[in-house]
Parts: sequence; C-alpha cells; structure tokens
Amino acid sequence: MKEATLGYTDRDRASLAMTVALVSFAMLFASLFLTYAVYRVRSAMWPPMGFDKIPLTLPSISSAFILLSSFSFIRFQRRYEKKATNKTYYYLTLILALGFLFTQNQLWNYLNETGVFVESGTFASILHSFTWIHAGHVVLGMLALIFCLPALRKNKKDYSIRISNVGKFWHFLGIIWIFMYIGIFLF
Amino acid sequence: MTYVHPIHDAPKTFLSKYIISFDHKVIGKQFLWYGIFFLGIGGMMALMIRWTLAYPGEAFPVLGNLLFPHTNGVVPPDTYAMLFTLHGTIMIFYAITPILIGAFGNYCIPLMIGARDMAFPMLNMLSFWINFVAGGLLLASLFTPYGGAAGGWTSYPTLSTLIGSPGVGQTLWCLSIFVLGASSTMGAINYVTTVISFRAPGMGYFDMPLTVWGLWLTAILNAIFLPVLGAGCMLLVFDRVFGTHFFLAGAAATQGTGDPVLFQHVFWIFGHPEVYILILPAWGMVSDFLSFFSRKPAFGAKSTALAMTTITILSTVVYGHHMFTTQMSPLLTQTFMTLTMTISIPSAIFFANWLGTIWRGSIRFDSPMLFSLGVVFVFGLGGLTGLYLGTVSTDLYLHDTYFVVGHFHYTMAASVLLGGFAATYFWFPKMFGRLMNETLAKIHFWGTMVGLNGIFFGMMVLGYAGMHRRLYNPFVYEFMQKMIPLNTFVTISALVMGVFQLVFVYNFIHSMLKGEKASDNPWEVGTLEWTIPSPAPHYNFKEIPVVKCGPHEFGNPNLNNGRDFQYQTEELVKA
Repeated sequence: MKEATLGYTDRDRASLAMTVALVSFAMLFASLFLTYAVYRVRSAMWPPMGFDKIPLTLPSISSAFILLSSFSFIRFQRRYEKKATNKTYYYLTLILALGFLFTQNQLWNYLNETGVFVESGTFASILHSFTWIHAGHVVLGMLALIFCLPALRKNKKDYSIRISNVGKFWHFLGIIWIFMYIGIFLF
Repeated sequence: MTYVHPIHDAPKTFLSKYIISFDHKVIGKQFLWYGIFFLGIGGMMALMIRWTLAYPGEAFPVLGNLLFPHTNGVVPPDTYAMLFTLHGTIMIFYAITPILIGAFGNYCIPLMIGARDMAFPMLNMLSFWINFVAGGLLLASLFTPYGGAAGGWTSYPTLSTLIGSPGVGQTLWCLSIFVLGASSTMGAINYVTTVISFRAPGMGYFDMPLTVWGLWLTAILNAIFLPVLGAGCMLLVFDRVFGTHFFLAGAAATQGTGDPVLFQHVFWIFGHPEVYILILPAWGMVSDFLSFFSRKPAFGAKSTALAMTTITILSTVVYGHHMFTTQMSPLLTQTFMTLTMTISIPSAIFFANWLGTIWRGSIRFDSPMLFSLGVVFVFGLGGLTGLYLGTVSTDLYLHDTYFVVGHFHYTMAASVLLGGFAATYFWFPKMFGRLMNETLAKIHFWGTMVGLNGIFFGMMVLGYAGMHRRLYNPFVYEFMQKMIPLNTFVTISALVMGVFQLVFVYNFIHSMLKGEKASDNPWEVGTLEWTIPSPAPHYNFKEIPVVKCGPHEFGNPNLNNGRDFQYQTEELVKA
C-alpha cells in the first residue's frame, strides 16, 4: 500500500472550498445566460420591435467601477501580504462597490423612465432581472468585504486566507458583470 | 503540515450539544430525525393519493374528517393536485436528501476517512438550519389562502405561473427549493473539501469505502447542478412576483413572448443529475454492504468506483430523455436516446460487480444485507424499465403514464428507501451505541419488500395499460374503469407497506432507549469507524489512524488471528 501524502494546508482547503463555491455560482449565472441565449437566438430582431438599444453610458460606468474596485482590492491584498496594511485601498474598494450599485440603480431608473418596465416582455425582463440578481450578489460580496474588516486592526492574527477568498468572490462578480456588459449591452 | 482538528472538550449545555452543534455526528442525527419526520408526512400524502385512486369519492379513514371537513372527509380535487405535488417535493428534497446525503453523508464521511470532523463544522451547522428554514417555508405554503403548490413536483409553467396556480403557495415552493438548494450546496462544498483533504494518512482514493465514493460524487453533482434549478426557480419567482415574461406565452404574455418549455430544459438539466444525486449514496452503501456481509472482498471495487464516476459524468448529458414529447427535433431525441443507452454500460459493470461480490460468499443474512439485496432486486427492475422510457418510440406511448411513476419509484424511492434502511440498521450501533432488534428488522424488511413491489409493479402494469398519471378520478374514462381492482390492489399494498413502517419507527425508538448494548464492532467490519468505541466519542479518533489496507479485506486465507477480516489500520497479511 503506497503512502499517500496528504499535506493539505488550511490555505489549500480554503481555496478548494472556494473553487467549489465559485463553480456553483458560475452555474447559476450560466443558466441565466442560457436563458438569454435562447430568447436572443430565437427572436427575429433584437432588441424586439418597439425597443431601442440601451445606451452604453451607464453600463460602461458600472464596468469601470467594478473593475477599478477589483484592482483596488488586489492592491490591498498585495500590501496586506507584505504586512504593509493600507486602509485606503480597502475603503476605496468599498466605495467603488457602492458606486457600482449606485450606477446600477441609475440604470434601473433610466429603464423605467424610458418605458422599459420589468413587465414589458422578455427583453426588459432580462435587462431587469439579470442586473437584479447580479446586484444581489454584489451586496453579498460587499458583506464579504466587510467581513474582512478585522484585517485592518493591528493584531497578530493572519487574515490572508479570508482576504484571498473574498477577493476571489469579488473578482468573480466583476467577471460576471463584464460578461453581462458584453453579452447584453454591447451586442 | 497536515492540519487535523484538535480534540475539543465535550459540549456541556443542551443547546450546544443537541441544537447548535458543530459536531458532524450530531448534525447527521439531526438530519436523520428531520428526514424521518418528512418521510412520515410524505408517506401520509402518498396514502391519501392512493386512497383517492382506489376508492374515489369515499372519505379518507381517520384523518379525512379532520383535514377536509367541508367535503366530509373526501380528498377534494384541488387538494389532490397539492398532495401529489408536495408528496414528490417532500420525498425528494426533504426526506431522501436529508436522510441519505444529510444524515449518512455527515455521519459517515469523517468517520470512514479517519477525520475528527468535517472541514468546515460551522458551514455544516448552517447547512442544517438553513435546510430547516426551507422545510418551514414549504410547510407554511400549506396554510396560505389558495393552499400549497399544485403544479406537480416538476412545477412546469404554465401550471406554475400565476394563471396555473394563483396565490402564494407556488411562490413559497420556489423560494423553499431555492433556500434548500443553498443549504445543499453548502453541504456539498463541505463534503468535497473534506473527502479531498481530510483523508487519513495512507488513504488513497481507492482505499476509501465505496460509501464515501458515492457520497463524494453526489456532492460534486450537487454543487454543479443545484444552482441551475436555483436559477430556474428564481426566474419563476420573478415571473410570479414582478411580472417578468420568462415562462409566459400566448395570451398570458401581454408583451412579447416567453417560453414555457425553457423551464423544462432548465429543470431537467438539474433534474437528471438529481436522480443520480439521490441514488449514488445508496449505490455506494450497497456496494460496501454486499461485500461486508458476504465476507468477501468487493468484486472489482476499483471498477465499481470508476463506473459510478462514469455515470456521474454521463448523467449530465442525457436530460433530454425527459422531454421527448416536447416536439424536439428528431436528431436531438435520437442523440439523447443514444447517450441514455450509453449509461447502461457502466450500470451493467457495477451491477455485475455486485453479483460477483455475493457469488460464492458466505453470506450473513443480517438486516442490512437483506435490505441491500432488496436494493439489488428493485434497482435491477427500475433500471431495466428505464430502457423503455429512454427509447423514443416506446416513450411516446408510455410518457406521463403510471409506467413512468412505477419506474421512477423503483429507482428513486424503492432503492433509495431500502438503501437508507440498510444504512440505518448498519450504522445504528455506532450512532446510538445500541443494536436494533433483528427480528423486528426482518419483519420490517419483508413487509416493506412485499408492499413496495405490490405498489410499484402494480403501477407499471397500470401504466402499460394506459392509465395516465396525475388524474383526480381516472375512472370517468370508460377504458380505465376496468383498472379499479388493480388500483385497489396497489392501494392495499401501500397501506400494508405503511403499517410495516410503524414497526421500524417502534424498533428505532425502542432500540435507541432500551436496545441491547452494542460492541465496538458488531458487524465485524474493518473500516475505520469500527475501530473506535460505540457510540462514537465526540472527537471520533483519539489518534488519527494510519491506513494500511483497503476497506474490503475479508476472508484472507493468510489471516491467523481468529478473525476473517482486517482493519484498515492493519498491514495486509501476506503468505
């Protein structure tokens, strides 16, 4: 019987669990994209008769916010791992995340003002509900970011595993948004 | 470097010991009680459905007048739809899943791989309590103005849209499934991580008992496919609550048009793997029990594990066979048919391995073995009848008949139920430190086996004769009136089976309190959980064991210590 070496560290375990969790989240969004693909491919024209393409301004600002917040979090994480904790990048991440939610809210307002209500057929349904579901996950992600708050204190406990996992979730949400931006708004 | 859980002090207060416990064994027992509770409710619903089919228009005995006073005890048609919907939902999501995956998954995985607990004990605790919330939501739906969900357990639109089922019941159903999905995904994350990273030193993947293999593959499928159903349920909730148009079509869609069939796709992309999610743990357990009680190494254990893995992978690409009658392109139906037939190859491999295991073994007919042999029989029947449903030409006739109902009850209900009972009888001594009564267990087995085959074989005959499922009173159609006697037979079988479950409940509770004290290893089996005292102490293993041989080392002719088996912690005896 060969000796299996099972040198799994806490970090391995955490990243393994996070990978499984992200696969689950990815499948959730993949199902949404499948729904979108089915409607899009089968309709004669897109956007359907009576609707205009959504101007790219607000979605682009959203994309900028969420991408910048991801970069800001990466900076925070790098500094934390070098023991040079900088609060600025942490709070910047949170503020940019709030900025993202604000812009999304503006997008919903815009849609409602221009008559693209949630009840107005599949095109509007997709625009509204997909951004809702994503925004809901962003709120979850922000709670996870706040969960990293203890890392700002000067104490000996190491929070690098927690920070790296929260980071993965946060970047994942950014990537999903970029997919939505390209798939639903750009094309 | 390997991290092991340190030994904690035993929890002292009632709350930390039995309610908010982080101990995988307590969480396993919580899931077991929870599952058995829902099994009772789901079973009662089944009896009401059966009563209505055998004696249409007659009052349901005892409970009828209590539950349906305005119809003098007769199950009303709308309640009938609610009953078959919630029977399916409860049995699949709130009985089988908690018992097989929640209870035995939690209880067995750490014990069988030599760990002190799951990788994330707190996530485990949350998984149970979130599941509890989901169960609460489902039961609450029964008390809403229009009653619970009534669109079938598959909840196809348009049955499940606001037009098909108005009221809050269906919305609560969707929410409860969503919450349950979150709970199961949390469990799955835990199981996958635990199996990969907490195996005792020396334990390779093929040294794991097949039970752990089954539970592990189940967890992987759960993590991948439950979110798909979650997405479907979420969109359905949006349709119902916010007025989106995902699954609305025709006159129901005021602007633009959605697609009701899309929900079926999303549902079955999840739904077909779900079938394997339910059966894989039972397969794993039965593969182990057959070897344990035949006192022989499991025949082709490695190929059994690989066959289960192959089925896991194939199960993700065959879902279309549930939808042959939705006007799919013939090219697609034939593709799905071929892929479905491919599953018979790995299934035949592990089935042959099961038979190879018991072939010329010195079989001990203890209750877990009886139930395992029962699984071999009923799963054989269930699997073979699946071929007729997987074939397009026969499915067009059999679709939505009682043949389907009989088939999926043989595979999902009968096999999983018998597997669950086998597991309960087998691990009961380790769970509670006492043995269950063997005589009562055997009475329970034969009663269940006879009743169950009467029910489900009867259903298949009915379906073959053309009886449609989900009809309140099929006998308004002339050609089905001749089927009343057979329906009565099925119902009497169901009542018989129901009565024999009381034997189990009595045996379970009586043995837990007053049963014969169990030794550490009453079944003489070598896997890791039997190397520790019964009931298992809260820290499981005083020292993390080092694994030196496989889980099925029986009848080695070189053994000379008076035993016919080896513990996994012992070096394999060679000549």
